[in-house]
Amino acid sequence: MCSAVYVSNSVIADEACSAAYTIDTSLPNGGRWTLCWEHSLQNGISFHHIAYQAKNGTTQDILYRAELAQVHVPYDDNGARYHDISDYGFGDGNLLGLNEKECPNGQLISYAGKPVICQQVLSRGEAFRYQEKSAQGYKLSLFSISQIGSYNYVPRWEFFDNGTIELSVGATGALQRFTTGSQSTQGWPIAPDKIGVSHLHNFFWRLDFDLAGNGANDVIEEINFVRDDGGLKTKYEPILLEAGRDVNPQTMRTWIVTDKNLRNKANSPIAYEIQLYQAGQRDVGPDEEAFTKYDIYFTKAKDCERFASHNGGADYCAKDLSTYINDESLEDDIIVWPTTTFYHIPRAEDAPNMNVHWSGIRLKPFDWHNSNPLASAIR
Amino acid sequence: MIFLTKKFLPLLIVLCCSTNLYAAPNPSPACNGNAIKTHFSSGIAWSMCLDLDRQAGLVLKQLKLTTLHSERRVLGQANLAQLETVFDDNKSPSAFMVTREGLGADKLLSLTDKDCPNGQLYPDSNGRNVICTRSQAGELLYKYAYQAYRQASFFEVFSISQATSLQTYTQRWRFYENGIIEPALGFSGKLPRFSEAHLGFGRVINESNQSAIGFSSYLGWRLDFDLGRSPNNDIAEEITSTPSQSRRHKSLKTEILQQETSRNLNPELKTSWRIKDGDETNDSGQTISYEIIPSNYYQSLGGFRGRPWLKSDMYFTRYKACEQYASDNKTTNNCARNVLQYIENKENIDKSDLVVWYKQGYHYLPRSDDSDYMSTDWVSFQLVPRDWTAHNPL
Repeated sequence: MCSAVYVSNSVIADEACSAAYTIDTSLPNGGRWTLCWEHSLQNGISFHHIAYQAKNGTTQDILYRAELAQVHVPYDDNGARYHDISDYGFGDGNLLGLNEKECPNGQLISYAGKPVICQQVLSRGEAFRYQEKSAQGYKLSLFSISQIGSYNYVPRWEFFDNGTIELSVGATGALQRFTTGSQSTQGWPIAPDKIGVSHLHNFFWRLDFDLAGNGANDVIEEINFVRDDGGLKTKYEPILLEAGRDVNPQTMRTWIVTDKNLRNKANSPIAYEIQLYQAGQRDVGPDEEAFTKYDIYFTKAKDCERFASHNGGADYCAKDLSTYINDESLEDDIIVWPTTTFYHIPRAEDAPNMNVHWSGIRLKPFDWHNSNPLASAIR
Repeated sequence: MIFLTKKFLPLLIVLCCSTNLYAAPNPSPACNGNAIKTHFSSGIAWSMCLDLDRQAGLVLKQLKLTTLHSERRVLGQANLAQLETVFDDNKSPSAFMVTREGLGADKLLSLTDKDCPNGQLYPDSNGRNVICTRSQAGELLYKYAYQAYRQASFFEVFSISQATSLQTYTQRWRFYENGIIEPALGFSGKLPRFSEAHLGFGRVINESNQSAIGFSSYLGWRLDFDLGRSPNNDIAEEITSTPSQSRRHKSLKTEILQQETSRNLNPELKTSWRIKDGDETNDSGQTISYEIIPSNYYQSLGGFRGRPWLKSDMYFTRYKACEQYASDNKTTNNCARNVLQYIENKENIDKSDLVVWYKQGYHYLPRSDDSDYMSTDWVSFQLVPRDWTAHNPL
């Protein structure tokens, strides 16, 4: 796969954590993922040393560490503005025990005697097709469930056999807040004399990329498609200083994290693209919640910058994303904070039990491989 | 058959103009394709007629949802009604995959059990298996601590069209046990076009000096809502939430769209749309409706060079039999050419037979990882029941 001359100075998952905290899954059609997990009071389950071995390829590190780093839930009546990860915590007592029925054809992983992660290998439908030739794809899926008030959140991490990673959070449980009456401009009637208050779920992930095991040579590039020569040209712009950026539907903006040293056979730096495909409900909150201003943030890695908002120890560390971005150079290790928002206007179907709604982002290989690794089956 | 029924509506108006038009009987049209009904163990069921059209390929007709005690129609017809592809160098003419190439007839690939694991194949009129249906169980539906937990299933239908020798499209519809409908289009095949790298379009993705050219695909979805018994009393409602000056509060507003119109996504106002019925309600007396949840906003306005129909995300029109495609529509018998022209005469749409057109943008950026077989990439959106039932039927 990638250059054989590159010598990785990283440690892959099975050396970075003990067997009990290692997940090592080879998918049926090729592709192998190794990663470590850990438990913390606030993030619940975090992952680290995430490495991917493409079919017929060598193992390559992608993420040094990855976790959900805030769920911010402001209500339309301003009656509550929750910061669920930092203030309540997805771990410990809030992390629910799972049973086998909740993890069909999967495997439960326990923390302190409580099964908290469901690990499954799932079919993901067609992986590729060329005329009559095709193959089915598979993915490794990991989820846990945390109860915060009436909400049950389901952080889910899916690792595909073609290198794609999908991060999502399901929101289920029951509606948290109601008012009475038959009409309201801050909610929706869900039963006679009962109004569910509308609210946002702002999800933030903290992704510490270390492509090929070294974060010091990773570079963020923004890609815009601009009109030129009668067509659309691909414009690349490196982001060199800490910044918050927004999607732009006019230029179909996207971002890649690239490795400065390692190139594939097309002589392109190996990279991952970050797709914010659910940005249609992006929300900008009040001045005091300036961390909601942008759709994605790029910051210099600092151990104490752990949460998107309500970051602890504000006396020695910045308090939220809006103050993490203070023009520092991104030359060293970079943290990417992708976000997505779900605006929930309740409906009658949300009671008594609320069906899960998924919000997510996608990380997609970008010149990571020399060619489609799964298609070797038909070449 | 639904076309036929609708074509005779003016006749019905003449015949029964002295009575309430909307009380006119609306017999379920016969299914010329494959009539399918799928039951989940909860008692919830979806029924539909899967038809095939030379241009559009897979066409869904008479889609009905049965909840615990009643069956109600959601859609009279729904299909992909255009797929216009424009390469980034804009050097080749626009390709209208639906109206010119066609996604149906001999473009539909014959499917085998391997293409349709644990599913069932259905034939076209020549006996060739071109439709796959299958169900998947075991998805989380809801959980509330240790007190409530339930899984649910979905039923999916797909067909695969080889539109050109290199470009393959999968049309897939998922019908969830919780009432959600998810239309999707899968892009696969081989990278369709290369050009000299020095021209500056696209990207070099292999060891040659050729650039693979990216492309935009514009999807025109046609959704002929016919909620409940009568197809002629549907209402389009726009829902917005305006932030207060401090941005600490939001204020919800609903507005009935009175006339044919076009609309745009607007994250600032969280604009969404629902189609509600003129008279049918749930057990709490709320009007039944389906809400449209668009997706792929981040690629929704890319470069609509000389293609005015792409200017808006949504179009709301009054049903006309000849208005079949989002663009490149046949203009015989004075029919309009595209959605932009369909709305020009601003016909009344309040309590009418509504057709909703959703223009969805997709942009493909070439990469080595897709050389030279592309990983199947999906673009989808959802139709979600809003107050269809008075509470969660599951």
